[in-house]
Amino acid sequence: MGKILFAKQGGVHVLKFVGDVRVTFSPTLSDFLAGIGNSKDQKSIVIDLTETLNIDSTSLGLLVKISLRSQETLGVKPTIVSTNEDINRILHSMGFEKVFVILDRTITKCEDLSALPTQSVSESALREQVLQAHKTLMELNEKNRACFCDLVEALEKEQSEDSHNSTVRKAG
Amino acid sequence: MSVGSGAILVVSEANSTETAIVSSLENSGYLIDVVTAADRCLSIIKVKKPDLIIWSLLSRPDISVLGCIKSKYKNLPVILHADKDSMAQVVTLLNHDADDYFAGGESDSELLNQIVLRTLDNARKKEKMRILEQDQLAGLRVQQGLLPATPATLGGFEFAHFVRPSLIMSGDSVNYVQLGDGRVIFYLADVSGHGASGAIVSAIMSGLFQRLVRKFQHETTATSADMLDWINVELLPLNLEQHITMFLGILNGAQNALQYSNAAHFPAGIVSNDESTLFLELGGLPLGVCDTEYGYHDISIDKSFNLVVFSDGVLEIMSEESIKGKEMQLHLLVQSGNTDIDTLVDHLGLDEISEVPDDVALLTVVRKS
Repeated sequence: MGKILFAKQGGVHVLKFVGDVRVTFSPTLSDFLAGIGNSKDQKSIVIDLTETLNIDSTSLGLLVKISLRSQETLGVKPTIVSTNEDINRILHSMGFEKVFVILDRTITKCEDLSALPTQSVSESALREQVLQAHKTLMELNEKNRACFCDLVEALEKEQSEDSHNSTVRKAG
Repeated sequence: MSVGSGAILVVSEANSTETAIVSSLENSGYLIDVVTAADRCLSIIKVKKPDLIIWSLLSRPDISVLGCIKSKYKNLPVILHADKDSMAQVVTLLNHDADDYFAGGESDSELLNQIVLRTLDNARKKEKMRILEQDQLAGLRVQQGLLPATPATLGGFEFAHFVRPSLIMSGDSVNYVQLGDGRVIFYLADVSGHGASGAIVSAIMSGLFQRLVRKFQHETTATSADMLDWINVELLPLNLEQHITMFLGILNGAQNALQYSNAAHFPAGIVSNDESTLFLELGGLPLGVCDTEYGYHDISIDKSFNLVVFSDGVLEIMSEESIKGKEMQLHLLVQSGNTDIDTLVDHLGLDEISEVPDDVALLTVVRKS
């Protein structure tokens, strides 16, 4: 059984799909989707599929919606980092290159960025986005997995913070 | 003391233990009838319609009647009242004719109450399940009515399909229709998720396809991409939770041409003739997610022509490790001449496999030279 992990780093929100992810009956990903653009510090979204074994069609559909919402509210396409050949085949079959910046290998040196394919956004903006995504992922790796928490937990925490904030506002 | 509701028939030759049981159940709120001769049971059940039977083994009744009751009233639960001497009988009866047993005496009325409550609850749940299943099966019949005949000869091609749902209803669907000018439009669609929610959306899809056929009946220059664009535009306002992947093709037998478009359908369709076996193109976003434009591909076909399209559920029942390996296996199947629906179903073991994790659909098109 798979799980979806969540971490934040310098305005980049990272979703990490681990294992065999099937969310057919789970609302967590749709909750995440609904929350995009609601927090001020959120700048971009990175989807890490490097440890994904399998991903169901419902999750894939929600990822497309996450991309659309990100483009609408944050003005950027999310980045997908995916190094598993099977997963990449599925991403390709779903036309994901149209709605994501897809990195099919992990890049460790900044010079490698020049070899990236260009997308509809300007090349420099794209390079900046990809660099940011990698920096984030690398930092998260260095700091170890403790940075990641279960997506459900993260959403619950955010919700309780929201209700706390609104109470404070009401009181003020 | 627990409070129960329902009618209970106690089958027993009255003795003091049985009398105590009856009065304790009455105190708990049950309506009790007592029958003292086993052979009168069936006629009393017919009149009183009890929710539960408590069958006493203490007075050594004729248990063959119990078999008759169970074969006639499958869903009527039976609790055995046993003592030490009848425990061997309990084991045999629990296998076929009884749901539970009670081996206590007068002082164990609370235990009996719990057993009765639980047995009644289980029976009610089973009944609810049965009703839900009937409901799902009614849905399935509607869904099957929306599928085209199989096999069917249209425009010089033989079309056939096979749909194996993961639950009762399916999110996978297939259709093919011949237009007035001889061209045949066909699709295989897969709604994300499966079960009832997928089935509802596939029924919407089926309705849309009928409209599509009417709309494009005389538009001879419209491409398969125009058709996917149209379906997508129709779906977007529905704001569906699900999306639909679809392979849509137009076959023109007179011009030996196949045009097709792909909305994220995977795995790729496979075409073959006497000499070669090829995967068709992948790509395109799923339908019903966002505003997008689809592309199309034209290929010319030989007199001898086979096309096989699988839904991605097929990948889940194959034993190869990687997706690439599974795709190669499907390619090999078609290349080896397994192009008719029965042979494919047979090779993939779709008729024998007891459970499929996702809906599986197959569509085949054949033209023989």
